Amino acid sequence: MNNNTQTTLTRAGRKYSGQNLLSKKYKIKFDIKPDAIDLRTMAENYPNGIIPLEDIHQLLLTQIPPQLQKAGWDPRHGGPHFEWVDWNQLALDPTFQRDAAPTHISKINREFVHSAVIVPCAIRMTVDGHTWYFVWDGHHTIQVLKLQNYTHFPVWCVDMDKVSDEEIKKAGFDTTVEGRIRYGKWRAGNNMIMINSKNKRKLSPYDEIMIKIETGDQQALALNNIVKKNTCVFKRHAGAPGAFTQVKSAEECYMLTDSQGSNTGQYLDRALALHRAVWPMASIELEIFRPLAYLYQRAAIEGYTLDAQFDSELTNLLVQLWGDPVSIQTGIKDSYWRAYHDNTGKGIPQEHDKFRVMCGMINIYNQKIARIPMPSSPYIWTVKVEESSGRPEAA
Amino acid sequence: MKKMFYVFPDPMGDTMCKIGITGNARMRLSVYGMSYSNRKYQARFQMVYWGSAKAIESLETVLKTRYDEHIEPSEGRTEWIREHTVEQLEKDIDAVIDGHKFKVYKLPLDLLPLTLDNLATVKQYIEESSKK
Repeated sequence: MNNNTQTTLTRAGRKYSGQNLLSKKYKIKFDIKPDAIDLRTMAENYPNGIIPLEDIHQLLLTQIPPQLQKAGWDPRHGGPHFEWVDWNQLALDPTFQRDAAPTHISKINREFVHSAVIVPCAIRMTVDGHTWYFVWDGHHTIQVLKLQNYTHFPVWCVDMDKVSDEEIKKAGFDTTVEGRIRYGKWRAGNNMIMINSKNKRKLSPYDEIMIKIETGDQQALALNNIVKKNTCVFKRHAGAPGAFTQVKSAEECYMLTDSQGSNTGQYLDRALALHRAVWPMASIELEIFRPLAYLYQRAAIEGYTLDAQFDSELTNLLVQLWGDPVSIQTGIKDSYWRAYHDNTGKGIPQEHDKFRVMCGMINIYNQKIARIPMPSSPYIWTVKVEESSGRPEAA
Repeated sequence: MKKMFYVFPDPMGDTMCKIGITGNARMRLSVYGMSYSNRKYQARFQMVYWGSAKAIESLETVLKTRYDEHIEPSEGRTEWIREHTVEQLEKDIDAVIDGHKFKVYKLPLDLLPLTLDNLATVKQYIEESSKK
């Protein structure tokens, strides 16, 4: 099934069909889920790929409870505004800012480009007759701008001197000069937490790789070439055949090199090709392709040749014992833990699933087939199928 | 522990099927049949696949994602697949099983449909087949 046809809206455990809403407007269907609307596929509905924000907004409204939608407000009159500020007007109040981190400032400075500055935020307050701009977000950025010898500093500013008495009282503060300053600090502190902690949405690995690919990053393009060659596709969600959601692990396996420190990508390529050939309708399973890539690398470094027949022998055996990729990797791990708890394994217990499964693959090949010599397994146990009771029965 | 993945046709004859898994077919069939008189209707699983709990649960996860857009959007009906007959589902599920190499097995035709009447025979069949 083509993943582009999925249009079910899910919210708070209930499901709403988006088909009626979308089928009239969009020829090419795309995922609309609470954690992500698939904008890349949505863009394919537009001749030039440019999506008006209003169209995205209409889709967001299908996911957001109506009470969060507020009446119109014109921010140009009395709201936050942009200013270029002099250096000697900028200040910091540590009550609503975190400590300065020279290493972080240095890191931003190393990669600095003028076109990638997020405007710092500040509150403007008069204290003892002096007007200050107290930065509550972007202090590190503004220090970098100083290192870059900026003569003026961009600030998104709220003027506390213009906040109405009513608003200050409503927040529980008095309207004396001191009360107004306390209100300003409270407002800035709350904003700081909201921006940096509560509402921060980290860029997902999927978004990061797609941006890199679409903007021509050479390493990302090389990785994507391997992914595409094996009829896989980077996806945010698993489900479709060949859907590849484990971006960071793909990058990790792409970087595995041979004993000469070269030929990046070859082990990932072989692992993906095998995965697709054996389980053509499955999404790419992390703890199958990753242990395989490490196994191939380990063999190369230790001087063993794992031929094409080995791939067939190993996967036939794994399919015969467990079947699908999820059952295989969880089955090997269950077997590992049984041996570990029963103290029947020998060697160094492994701290990461990728190496537990890799050891399991080496062990089971040695125990059941042993046609060719294998690289060493740091932890040796008898790999066998463990019976599982599964999830509790639903009523 | 062995579990079953079943396809349950709409008792009223609509082109919809319920898909689900169970480790207790007796209870499930009893619940499904309870709303109808025994003279007019007997709950039945028209298609049954059996296997380890893990394999059956993985199969269910894959199929629920696969049929996501056909699943009834209303509350409490998230296992009903619209516009699919048992025959259509069977063909598709067989392809999914093959494409994932799920270690699950289809009940032979002479044991289908599964009802409370032949449940004991089916259980015995699964028990014996598991030993092979």
